[in-house]
Amino acid sequence: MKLVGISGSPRRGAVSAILLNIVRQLSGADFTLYESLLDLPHFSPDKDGDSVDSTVRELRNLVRSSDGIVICTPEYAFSMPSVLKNALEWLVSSGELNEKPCLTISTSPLPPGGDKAHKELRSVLTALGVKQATDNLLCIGATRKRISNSGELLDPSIEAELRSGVLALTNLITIPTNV
Amino acid sequence: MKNLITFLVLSLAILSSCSKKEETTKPGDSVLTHPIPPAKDTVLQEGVDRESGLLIDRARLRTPEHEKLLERFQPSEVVNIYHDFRPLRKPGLKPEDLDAFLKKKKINMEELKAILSEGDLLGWNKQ
Repeated sequence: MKLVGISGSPRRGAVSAILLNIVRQLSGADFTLYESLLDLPHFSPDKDGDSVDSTVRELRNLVRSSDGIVICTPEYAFSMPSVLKNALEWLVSSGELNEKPCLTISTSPLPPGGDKAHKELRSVLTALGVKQATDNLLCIGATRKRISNSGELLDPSIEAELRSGVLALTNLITIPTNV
Repeated sequence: MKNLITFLVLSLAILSSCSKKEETTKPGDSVLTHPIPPAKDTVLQEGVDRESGLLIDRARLRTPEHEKLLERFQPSEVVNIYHDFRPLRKPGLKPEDLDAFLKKKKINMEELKAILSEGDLLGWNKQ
């Protein structure tokens, strides 16, 4: 099983990337963590086509060759970071996310866990035709108290929730016709 | 004097009309005469077998013990065991069939229950 994790944070070493690394361990899958959102050019239909930027081509190939996607986003001003939305816009016309099994996670230092960004992300992904692994929103809040600066989980319930999310995604990939 | 008599007569009339009488109730004319039916456990009504833990139980919750049991499994193993057990997951499961399944999957009963619980919580029983 090949999975791609997309960290929605433009910041290196962000909580989103930490959580995706835990997902990588829990999944036991061939897992690629994509952290190059800042390298993508601003989306414009005028820039798309045969001469599209190599970074966009790389992202599209990565998503196309995967069995499923895991996106973890922080919340910026009640929304997902613009760099993540930009990446998703590059995947609209090329269609790599259509019917792609997807697990979404949001994270925030505040207790709601980035629920507003999460809902927005899922709305965008619905427009792109992804298959959501679970109806539940996996929002991980109060991260400063629950994850140490070195990336260690201080609250074991986070791992349990991530494991459930990974199971839901694995089930969707393995048993696709019944969903 | 006349006014006093009138007042007393009226007062007596009012008091007599307000006096508490022992009412004779007919059986069945009050909700209080009906026994309150016992509350129905809708989960049990659906044929849930809480004893064995092998049938669907919507009242399940994820527990730390249950999470611990799942730690040794890869996600794909959990998914496969859950779905492979579905044909056997019905009332009247023979103990020998259950034993054969556990042996084949190299798991114990508690691990099977944890996997079934997790799958149910994730809604796989509705697939």
